[in-house]
Amino acid sequence: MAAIETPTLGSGLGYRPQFRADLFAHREEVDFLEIVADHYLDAPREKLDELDLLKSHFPLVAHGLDLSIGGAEGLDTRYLDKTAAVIERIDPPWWSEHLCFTRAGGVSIGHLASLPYTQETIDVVARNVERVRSRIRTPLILENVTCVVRVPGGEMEEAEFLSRTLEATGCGWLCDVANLHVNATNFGYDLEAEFERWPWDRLVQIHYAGGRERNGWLIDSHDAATSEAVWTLYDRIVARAPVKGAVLERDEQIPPFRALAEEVARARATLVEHGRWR
Amino acid sequence: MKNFAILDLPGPEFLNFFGLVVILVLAGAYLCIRFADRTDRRPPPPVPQNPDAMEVAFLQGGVNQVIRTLIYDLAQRGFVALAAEDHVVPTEKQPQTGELNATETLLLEAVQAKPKAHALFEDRALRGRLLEQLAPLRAKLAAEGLIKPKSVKIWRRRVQIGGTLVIVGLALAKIFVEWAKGPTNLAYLIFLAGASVAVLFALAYALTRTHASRRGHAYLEAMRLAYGGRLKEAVAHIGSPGPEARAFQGAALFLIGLFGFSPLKGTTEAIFAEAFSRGSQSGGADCGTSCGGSCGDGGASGGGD
Repeated sequence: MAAIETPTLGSGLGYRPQFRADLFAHREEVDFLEIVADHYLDAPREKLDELDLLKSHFPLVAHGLDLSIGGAEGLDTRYLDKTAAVIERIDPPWWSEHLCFTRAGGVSIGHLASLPYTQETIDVVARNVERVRSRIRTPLILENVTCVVRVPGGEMEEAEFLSRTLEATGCGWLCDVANLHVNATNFGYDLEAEFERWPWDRLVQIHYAGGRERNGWLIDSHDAATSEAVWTLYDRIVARAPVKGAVLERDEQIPPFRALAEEVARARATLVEHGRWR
Repeated sequence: MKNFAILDLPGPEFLNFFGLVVILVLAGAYLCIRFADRTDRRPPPPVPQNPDAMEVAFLQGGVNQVIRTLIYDLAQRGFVALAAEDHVVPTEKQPQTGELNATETLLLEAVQAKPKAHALFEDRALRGRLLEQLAPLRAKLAAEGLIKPKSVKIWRRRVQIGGTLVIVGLALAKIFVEWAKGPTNLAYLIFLAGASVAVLFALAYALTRTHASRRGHAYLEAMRLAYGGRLKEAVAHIGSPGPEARAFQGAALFLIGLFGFSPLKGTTEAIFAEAFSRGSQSGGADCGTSCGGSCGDGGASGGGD
């Protein structure tokens, strides 16, 4: 049974204004868009017009950055209200946030910081998700993040932490394939061997992207074409799990739109091959 | 008429009442014209993936915008050039058979006489023939509710006539009553009545001067928002070496129809913006005739330049 009952959206693209004109000129090449909700909080009229324009031409899902769903101090009510307003405006089939914390002591740390893999953290996340649900009825899915430093005192591995968190919250999973690959590479574990430990039955959406390597450390920088290693993992995940949508993320060094469209087409081909998309 | 107590009000109090009537007439005129165009009850059509330059130009600014766009395109392709004192002149390059369509050929014929830019807008014969050729396009846009419905023109006439009758009638009634009492100074009332009628006509013109309906405006606005980034790219290419210098050729020509020549200011092609800006200003007389029929016949003066 699927984690949430929603339509299948196909192969999409993380929307960035830089390629807006090309996107509209080639919109048959993108099945849906993912907008970053934070770009439309306190937005001027022009940005809201842009959002309405996108909504009238593409299926949309929203992606949040700064909710700090794992924050022990609770959620920022004003931020939650603003996010709710954006989501109400576009009425997506689901929306997503990162399973991390971005605020501590009332200060935004400007980073998607990895959570301690403990039961206490799971309880905190479950409490925060309930709070979100009381404000936003659209199904929330949670995304695995890259881990720069593993917080000491962990009681379990990431796969188990994610599985138990999704179980406790009832949320679907936004699987960032690049993040899975980055963490596995940087922390030296065998993703292939542990593949079945991940909560594939809760998978809703996929993110994929290219990154770079610095001093032997992989960074999920969204500034390069998706690597072969990530594509291989992507193909395996799509074959394994009933994904409803896959989204290419590209934030820096954005190439000509043709290159983005080719990656989106590559992702779609796998979805089609495994009967996940028409 | 002496039975109307309102007409026996002292001057300042009557003027207050008169001002209130004028405000109500103007508000009524606005509402009548506004609600004569209900095309925005439907959302605008999807933004086209390959916008048609003529369609966009016609919707944006009627025949004048079509003329601007065609002249720019012919200049890009080397068939015409802008000369001193805003003259549009043919070059030595001759089109091959089938190279130009009928509308382009019509414009090329029109510039054989080396007219000034504004003269193209004022050439009634040219406008008439262009409108004939653009009739299918106009019909398509009208069917989609993108150009102002005829009801707007009908209601504009009604509010102009009705509003004038109310304003002038009330003023004349007061003048009649006051004259019957003896000599009096009614100059301010006469001035106020004249100014109010002028404002009424200006309001009616402002509300109907554009060619696009409310749905059409929303459609154009969506196109501007969707393709605005491409305009910046195209302007940046102007003057660069190689084929990219012709930044608005081919599929990008619709940007000229959509945004006009204003974006060319500050580029090596600013001459178009200057010549046709002067042309638009000189075309004020043209506006007086064509704008009167702008609602539905595509004769609107462009705007946007």
